[in-house]
Amino acid sequence: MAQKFYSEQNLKFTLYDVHGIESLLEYDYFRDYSRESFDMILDTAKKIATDFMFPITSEMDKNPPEYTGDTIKVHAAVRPFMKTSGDGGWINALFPYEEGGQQMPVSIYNACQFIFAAANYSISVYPSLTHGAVDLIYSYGSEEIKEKYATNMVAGKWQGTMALTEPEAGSSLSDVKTTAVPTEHGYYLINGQKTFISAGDHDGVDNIVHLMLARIKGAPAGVKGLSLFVVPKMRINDKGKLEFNDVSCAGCYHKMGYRGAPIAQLAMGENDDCRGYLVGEANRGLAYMFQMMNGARIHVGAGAAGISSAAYHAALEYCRERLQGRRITEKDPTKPQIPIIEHADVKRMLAAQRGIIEGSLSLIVYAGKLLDLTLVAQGEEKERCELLLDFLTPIVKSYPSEMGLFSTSLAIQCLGGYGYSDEFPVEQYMRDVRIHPIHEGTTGIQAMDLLGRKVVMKSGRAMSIYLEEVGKTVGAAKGIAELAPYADKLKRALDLLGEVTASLVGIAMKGETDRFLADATLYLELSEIICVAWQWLAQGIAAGTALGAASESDRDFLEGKIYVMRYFFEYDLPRIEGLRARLMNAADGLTVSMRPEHFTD
Amino acid sequence: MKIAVCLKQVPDMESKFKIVDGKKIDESQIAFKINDFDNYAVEAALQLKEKLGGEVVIVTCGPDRASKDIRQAFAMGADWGIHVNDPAVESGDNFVVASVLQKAIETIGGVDLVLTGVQAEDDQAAVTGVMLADLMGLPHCTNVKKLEINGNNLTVNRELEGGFNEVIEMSAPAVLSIQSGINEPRYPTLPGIMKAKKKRLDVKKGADLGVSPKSKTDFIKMFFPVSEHKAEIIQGDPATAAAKLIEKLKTEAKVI
Repeated sequence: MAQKFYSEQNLKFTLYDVHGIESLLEYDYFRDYSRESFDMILDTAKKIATDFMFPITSEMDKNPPEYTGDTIKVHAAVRPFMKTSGDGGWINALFPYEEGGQQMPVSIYNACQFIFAAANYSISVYPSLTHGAVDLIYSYGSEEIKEKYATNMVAGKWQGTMALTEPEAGSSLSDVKTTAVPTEHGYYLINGQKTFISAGDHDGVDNIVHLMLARIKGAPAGVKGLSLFVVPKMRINDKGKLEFNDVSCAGCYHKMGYRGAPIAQLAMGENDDCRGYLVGEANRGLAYMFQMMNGARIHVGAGAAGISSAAYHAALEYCRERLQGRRITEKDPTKPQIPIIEHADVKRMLAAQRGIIEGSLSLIVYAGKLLDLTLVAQGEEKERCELLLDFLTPIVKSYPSEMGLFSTSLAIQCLGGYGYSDEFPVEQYMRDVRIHPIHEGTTGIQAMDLLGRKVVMKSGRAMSIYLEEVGKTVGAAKGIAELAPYADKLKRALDLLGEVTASLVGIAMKGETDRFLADATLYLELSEIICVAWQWLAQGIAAGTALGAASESDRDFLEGKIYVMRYFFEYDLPRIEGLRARLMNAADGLTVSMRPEHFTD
Repeated sequence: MKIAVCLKQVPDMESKFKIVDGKKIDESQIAFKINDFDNYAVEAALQLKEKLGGEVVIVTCGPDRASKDIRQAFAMGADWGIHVNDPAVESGDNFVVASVLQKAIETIGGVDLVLTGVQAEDDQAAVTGVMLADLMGLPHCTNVKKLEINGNNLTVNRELEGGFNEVIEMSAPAVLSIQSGINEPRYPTLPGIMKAKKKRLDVKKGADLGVSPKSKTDFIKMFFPVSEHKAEIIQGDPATAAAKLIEKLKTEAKVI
């Protein structure tokens, strides 16, 4: 059975050779780090992933969480994993020293999250969700909340969640109905229901702390009336003891994949005794949530890329060992069969997976680096990084998620009938990865975010910065003989993007917003392919540079890298022509003009 | 209690191994890590320190790259270390390494216990710990699966074949080679990794320790064993084929 789930060599190549993560060490904030400590962190992540997480991936899938009537029973490894994550400093790794954190660069942290997701996505989310919840508390919470709740969360004793979704309010958060009534004691009384809350209740920790969106009585309708609360399952009473806070777990859903982590239904205030503690200012809840959203969405991309990576390595191992058929030119049936990796179509499938996974990973590392720079850079550079990150976030979230499904499907295809059976791990990976186009904002939401908001924000400034950055890579590649043709292809793709964008913005200028956004998902797809082609060109430059001094065995890796770059430009990039053809016709409003009755039968 | 743990850096066995000139492994494709058995030794030492106080010192022979894994042990909680980084030692056999380790441990002074892994994952010789005990003139026990300490008295379970354990009493100072499964080695923590950078690591040559031992063995060559898959399908009708088979079993395979 497959033992490898990611390529350490590729991860380090992406971090150090492509994106020069060591340049972060020049900033005072990261002064205590070094290449050696980065490597030690990556080694430790690998060890935890290999020894602890990976061996129970299938087991967690086959024994999913069960609702017991008042909580959800999860795999026995969740508790020690939360403890390992807390003791190991993983939950507070990104926080500043003064908050007890490690000031770890996000780019390194995300690389570790990629490793963890590749090993076992389900178990990886328990601490990372807790991290996200603590992040909100540290950013906006009172000292009292920090001390009472965050301390146990970073220690891995208590689970943190993000409780946004309700039965009637999923993508449309403006419809959140959970109410918060102020009391004279300072806390609010919470009443309502939440659904699809990841790790929303389980027996792998002693308490659950929800970071919950609710509407204070009398607050405006829509997103401007949402406030953020800490709503624990067990609150700390005046005597310092835990007591039930009237947050009931009403059940858990049985999911297609990603089965090791439960999604819970919650009912708050059934006995009018659910206390919520306001975080930050009233009515600013969604703004607070969104401040964390860039990081959370990059994290989803890392999760999807990780799962696809595990599927690829399982497929690769199989393709090397499985003997089937002979070369097309070999007519003698008594000659031994060859490993299927020798067949061109199998190589195509493997290259396609690498194109997606390594292209995604490069983008994720780059986005992580931008997030790091938004923290440490000053003035104009800081603003540039912020805008560029804002622009890229929907792409970093959606490309690995949407293409992860295709990539894991190709992994199954490599294994044929075995891939479709649960004797091999790849079918699980395809089920596991399917969540990613849905959670943390669906692909449709990301598409509207990109076209409706990011493209036009600040009069197109974010997009201009993006185009400048891609242009720099094109310029660098033009000077390298072997890469010049690909630089030209990317340049032409940018022209195409400009043409399509202008055409769509033209529709918006006419006030036809529904037609402008109707095909936003296709626009997102077009943007993703071009963006990942850019990342491949950057990888091509780094590989070409490294080839000069490479050892014989490194040459295989680097030459393979350049092959996959070429593959992406030859097989994936041309897909933008088809998308262009449709998008240039978007003014026809084909789907806009369809009525529900047209789907009668 | 002062404990020295001998730690070896070994290739990750998942790496691609390629032999160069029949002499050595091409390291460019190899990821290195702490010898798994030594991890158990580090953990055993850290548990003793937590219980009884004292310090844990890591002692390693190896090239530059080995320092990364000494620091991994620091990140687990070891206090400081000695890194003998000397090509002459590197090219030597287990006897050379044991001799150097002995001198290095002597420089620490007052060591109560020396722990090693039961063997190294790469060469699987399982002799360095025993040689070290002999050179130091200390009692030793191999394959240790359980360890209890009361003052200077050690009670150790030694794993035998067939799932048996034997219980041995001995007194410190002593050398113990630790078997896997004695404990669950902790993972380095992120704060531990940051502290590891600042911990003391003395780098020495064989000459600094006043030792230049000669190997007791000669290294000839390294190769992948050739596996022979030989199959022959005997043609002809059943009677002829059976007669041919008997002939071959007699004259070629010589088994009947």
